[in-house]
Amino acid sequence: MTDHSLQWLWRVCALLVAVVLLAPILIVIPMSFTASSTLAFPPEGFSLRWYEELVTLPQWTLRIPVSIQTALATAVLASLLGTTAALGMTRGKFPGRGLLTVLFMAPLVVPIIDLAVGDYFVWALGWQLGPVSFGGGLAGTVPGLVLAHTVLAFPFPFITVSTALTTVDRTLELAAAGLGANPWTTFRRITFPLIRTGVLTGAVFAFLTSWDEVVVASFLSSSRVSTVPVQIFNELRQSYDPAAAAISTVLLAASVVLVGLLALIPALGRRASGRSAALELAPKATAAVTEVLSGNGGAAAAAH
Amino acid sequence: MAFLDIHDLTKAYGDKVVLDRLDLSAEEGEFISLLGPSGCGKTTALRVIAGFLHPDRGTVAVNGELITNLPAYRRNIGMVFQSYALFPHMTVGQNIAFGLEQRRFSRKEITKAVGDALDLVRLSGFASRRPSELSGGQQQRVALARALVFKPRLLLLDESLSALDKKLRVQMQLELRQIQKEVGVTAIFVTHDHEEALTMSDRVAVMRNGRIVQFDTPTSVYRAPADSFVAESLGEANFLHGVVESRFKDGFVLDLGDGRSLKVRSDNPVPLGATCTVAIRPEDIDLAPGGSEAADLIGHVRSIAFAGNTTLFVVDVLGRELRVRRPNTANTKNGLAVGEAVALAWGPSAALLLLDQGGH
Repeated sequence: MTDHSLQWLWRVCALLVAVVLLAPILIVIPMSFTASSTLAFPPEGFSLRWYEELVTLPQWTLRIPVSIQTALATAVLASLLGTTAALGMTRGKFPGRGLLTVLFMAPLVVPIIDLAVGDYFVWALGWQLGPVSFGGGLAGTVPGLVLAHTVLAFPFPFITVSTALTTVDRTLELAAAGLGANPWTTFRRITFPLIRTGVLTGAVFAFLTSWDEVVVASFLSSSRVSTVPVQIFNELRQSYDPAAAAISTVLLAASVVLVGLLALIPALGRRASGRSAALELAPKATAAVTEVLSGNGGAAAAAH
Repeated sequence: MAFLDIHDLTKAYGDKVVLDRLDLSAEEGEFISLLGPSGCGKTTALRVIAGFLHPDRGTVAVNGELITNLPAYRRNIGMVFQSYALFPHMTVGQNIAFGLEQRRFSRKEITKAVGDALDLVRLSGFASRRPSELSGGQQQRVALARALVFKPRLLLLDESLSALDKKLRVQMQLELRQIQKEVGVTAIFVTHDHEEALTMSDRVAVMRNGRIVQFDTPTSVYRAPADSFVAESLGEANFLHGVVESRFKDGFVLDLGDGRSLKVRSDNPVPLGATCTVAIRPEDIDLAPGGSEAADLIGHVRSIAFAGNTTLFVVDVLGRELRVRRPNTANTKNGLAVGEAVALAWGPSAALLLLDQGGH
């Protein structure tokens, strides 16, 4: 076989893999525009009625705000905790740091059903030990969903911020202190701007983690308060409602836009901070997450 | 009490003692260099003064005020780092304004002070540039402006010129010293470059193993080194050991042990029979072809290395190697050849008696 035809073989293989990977993702798009009242492929006719349902029927109009609120709050809370933890791990010097780092990455490798069951017991039922009680009563509430999702999302900002911190020259912090800045001002004016890209990247990953999460969310949902992915799952179990395809398309679009924004961060960074370290950070932080996701979560985490 | 008064400073990392009961003082407006090889503790000393490190023992006082336990951000001390440590996400102007903002100056005062500071370091019009857009020398000046703009009581410079190339470094040495005099700030300069220390300082503190071996004016440390370490730290030196044979009016005769002796001019009342070492700077030795009555020593040329404005001769004097450096001018006749017999001569004040006779 010649080099040329070998090349073509590789291309066909790559294309086949791409089709297998993309088909389940892309199939929902044409199906969402169907005119018939059940999901089918190929779609029959063209209609926007299912998108109309998303903004009119209560099962969707109630779920969409819950999903957005949960994902936003999760992103904020996870970024806050992840940044704090990353600062502690990279700046602190205390025994057991490696162990703690592995623990911080655990949500990536622990079976999600374990987390769901655990979350259910803590946030929905609560612990009671004599006079001390903790959690409970949070099933079917946004705070309950946020707390559970924050555990899942936490490793992402932790990884991206840790990566960002390793690129920050500690001398800059000393210089700031020498110029009269107290530790908080030094963090606010020097350290944080230099790791901002890492924090933002982590926040986007945290948002996406919550945004499409079904298992944990279904344990903590009630008939009144639930998220969009859980609702899609429930709808599809009862009927082939094309509205599910429509909302899936919307979720997909939102994710694509967010990841696209992530790609834009370096460009924003360039405008804001010259040829600074922030420039190389977004791809680096993303790479760190990819590296961890590709399997050896614990090992990669310990290396940071 | 001196303006800057450092007493008994000690710092150890585990078993490794980095600062060993260090004492140092500086008068107001003085430019002091801490000179020493890497690992001698000079940078650690600077970091303790800045407040980035806490000493295990000892005190730092500025203008009578004890600052040993003050955090770095309350010390009002300006520092220029080796890497400059300019904030990459801020403009030159924002970098310089940072210290003033921490001191709650008004917008108007800040704008004026930043402009003045940029004028001082000859970078007017650079306020809106990014540090990454500047050359090394320009970044150096921004770092200096940033450290001086808030009128610190002390200016610390950590190997601040070592990242520059030689030509620029010499220019910055003069410029830095001129600015320091203009501002009148007391400066502590850490360096491992003896020429830099000698050129810039009012006084040089030569450090070894966390201690100051000698602390004196550049001329004194160069011309009257305490020991062979100091003599070598400040430039090339030949060492000769001998026994004091006899004394004359303002010096003594040293018996070198191989039937030769040499005159040393010294006020030091060294007793007869004492063993001592003298240092002779290579540039203080005169070379003449053949033997001569006036010669202090006679030897053979072992090697000749042309080095532009000087030539380095290595001369073998009865198995002992002496380095001789002669200036090259347009009129210099280069008559000597390798293997030739030469007479070495120097004035009586060229042989420097090392005051502290320990450490050989």
